[in-house]
Amino acid sequence: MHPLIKYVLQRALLALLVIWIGLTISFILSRLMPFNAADLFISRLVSQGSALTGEEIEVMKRQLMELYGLDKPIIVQYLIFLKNYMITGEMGPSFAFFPTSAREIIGKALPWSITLLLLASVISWLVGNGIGVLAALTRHRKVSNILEDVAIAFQPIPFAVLAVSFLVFYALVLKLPIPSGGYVGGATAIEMFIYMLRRALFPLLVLVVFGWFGGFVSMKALALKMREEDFIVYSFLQGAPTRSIRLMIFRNSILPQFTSLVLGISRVFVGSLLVEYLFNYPGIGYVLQSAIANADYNLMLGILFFATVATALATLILDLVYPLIDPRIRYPGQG
Amino acid sequence: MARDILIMNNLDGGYEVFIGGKRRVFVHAVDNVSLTLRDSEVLGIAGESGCGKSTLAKMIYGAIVPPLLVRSGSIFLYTRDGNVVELNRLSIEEVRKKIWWLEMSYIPQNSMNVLNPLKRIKDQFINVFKYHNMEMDKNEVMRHLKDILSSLSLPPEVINAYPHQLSGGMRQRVVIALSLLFNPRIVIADEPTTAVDVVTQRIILSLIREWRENSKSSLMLISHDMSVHAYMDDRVAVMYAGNIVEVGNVFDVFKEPLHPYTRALIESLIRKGDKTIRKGLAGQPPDLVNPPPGCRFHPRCPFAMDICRREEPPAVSLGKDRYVKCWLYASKR
Repeated sequence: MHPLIKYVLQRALLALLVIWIGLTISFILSRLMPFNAADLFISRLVSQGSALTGEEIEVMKRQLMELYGLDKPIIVQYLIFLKNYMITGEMGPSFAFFPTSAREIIGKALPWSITLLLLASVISWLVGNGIGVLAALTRHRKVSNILEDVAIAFQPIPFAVLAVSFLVFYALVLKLPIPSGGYVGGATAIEMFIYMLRRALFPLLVLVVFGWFGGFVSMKALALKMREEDFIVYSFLQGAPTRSIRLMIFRNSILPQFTSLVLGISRVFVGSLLVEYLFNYPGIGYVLQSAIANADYNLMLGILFFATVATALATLILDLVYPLIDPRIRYPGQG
Repeated sequence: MARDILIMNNLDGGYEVFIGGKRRVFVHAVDNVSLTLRDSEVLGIAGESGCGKSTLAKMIYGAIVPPLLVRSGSIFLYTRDGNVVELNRLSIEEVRKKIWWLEMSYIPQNSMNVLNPLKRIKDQFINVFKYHNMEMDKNEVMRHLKDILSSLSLPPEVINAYPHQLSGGMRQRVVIALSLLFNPRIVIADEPTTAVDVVTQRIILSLIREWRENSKSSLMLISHDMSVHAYMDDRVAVMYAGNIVEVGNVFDVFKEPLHPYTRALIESLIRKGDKTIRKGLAGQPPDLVNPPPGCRFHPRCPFAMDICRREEPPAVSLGKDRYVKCWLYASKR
C-alpha cells in the first residue's frame, strides 16, 4: 500500500478511536449525574400541585423509564447508544421535549451557533494576526506598543465582564440601537440565513472586538522574531523590495498560528452559552445547558457527539494539511 | 598596476545603543578606516572576533540599519559602465536596485542558515531575478541553474529540494551560487566558511577562488582565520579594535609581519614540524565603548612605549603597498 494512503488510514482510524473514547466518557458522565429525567419530570408535576399517591408515582416513574429506555441494564444502554451513534446515526428522543428527536432539536439550533462562532473565530483570527504582523513591521513603534499594551491588559479579563461592559457602553452611553428582528415564519432558506446573519451581527461585533488579542500578541512576537531571522536579513541584502520581505515574514510566521484557527473552528459546535445568554441568541449553548439541567441524556450526548467529532476531525485535518503548507513537515514514508 | 574599483576613505562608525531608553552608548567598531580594493584581487581582512570586521563589511555593502551608524567617511565605487558613484550618498532604495547583487554581492556569515525554509532552491534563485525586475525565461533560468550547480558539484535534483533536505555544505554552496548569480564585480564574503570542517572549508574556498579567477572580479574576504588568508589573499589588511593596523601583500605580511599584533597572529599558526607550544597574546581585546587612549593595542603590546599610551600612531608607508599603523616604525622615517 502507498505509505501516504496508509498514513491517512491510520490517522482516520485514530480519529475514530478518539471519537469512541470521547463518546464513552460522555456516556459515563451523563449516567453519573445525581438525578434522572424521570425523577425531574415527576418532581415538576408534584410541585405544580398534582396530587399523586406514592404508588402512582412509582408506576409513572417505571413507565417513564421504560419510555426513555432507561430501565434496561446500564451495559445494554451503552451498547444501544454505541449502535445508534456508530451505525444507524440515530440519537434517540429528547426527554425534555419528548418525543421530538434529539437530532431535530440540535439541527435547529446548531446552524445558529455555527454561523455566529465560525464567523467570529475566523474574523478574530484574521484581524488579530493581520494587525499583529503589521504591528511588528510598522515604523510607528509607539502605536504598535500601545496596541500591545491594550491587548495584554484586556486578554486576561473574562469575556463576561468585557461583554457586559460593552453592552452597557453601547446601549446606555452611546445609546445606539441593538439590531434585532422578529422571527419570519415560513421563510425560504436564504431569507432564513439573512435573518440569522442580522441577528448574529451584534454578538459577532462584540466577539471580534474582544477576540483578537490572543492572535495579535502571539503573531506580533512571532513576526518580530522572524524579522531578525538570517534568511530575512539575507533577502534584504539580496535587494528584496520591502513588499517581498513583508510577505515572506507573514508567510513564515503564520504557520504556527494555523493550529489555533482550526482548533478554534472545531469549538463552534458546543456553542457559547455566555454569548447566547447575553445577546439572547438562539444557539446550541442554550440547548446544552437545558439538556444538562433536565438530565436529557440523549440531547446532551448528541451535542457532545458533535463537539467530539469536530475536535477529532480538526486534529485530523491539521495532521493532513500541515505537510502541504510547511515543507519541513512530511508525511511518513515521503522521504 | 590594477585599477582601484572601490575606495574607502576615513570610514568611521559603530553601534548606537540606548540603555534604558536614555543613556546613549556608542560602540566605536570602525575607527577611521581607509582601504582600497583593486580590480581582480582578493583583499583579506583579518582580526579577532569583535574587532569590527563584519561592521566594516556592512558599512561597505551599505546595509546601514539601526543601531549601526556611519559617522563619517566616503565610499567610491567604479561601476561596470565606468561611472564613479559615491555609495554613501545614495539612498538605500537606489543601492538596493542598482548596486546590490548586480555590482556588489554578499556572502553572509553562517551561510548555511540563510535560505528561506519554505521555498525550493529554484524559487530562491527565481526570487533574486524578481527582486531586480529582471526579464527571464523560466526554462532558460533552469538550464543556467543546473550548469551553475554542477560547476559547484551539486547534483541537478538540488533545484527541486527544500533547504532542510540539503547538508550544511550543500546549502553553503547554494548560497555562494546565489551570491555569484549576476557575476558581480565585487563580492564581500563575511566569514564564508566559519561553521564547516576544514575539508568542506577548503572545497568552498577553492570554488570561490576558481570563480574569481575566471570572472576577474574582486573579492573582499573577511575571516579571523589566518590560514584562510594565506590560502586565498593577494593582499591582507589586519584589523584590531576598529583600526586597520597593517596592510600589505600577503607574502610580505606572512614573511615579515611588522605590527606586533600581526606578528602575534601569525606566530599562533601551526607550522609543519614545529613542536613548540604556541604563545598566546595576554589580555583581552579592548572595550569599544571606551577604547584605550593612544594606540588601541598598547595594553597588550610587548613593545609599548610612552608615546603609544598618549598618541594615536600614524599610518606609516613602508615601500610599495605596505602600511603599518605603529609608533615602532614612525620613528624610523
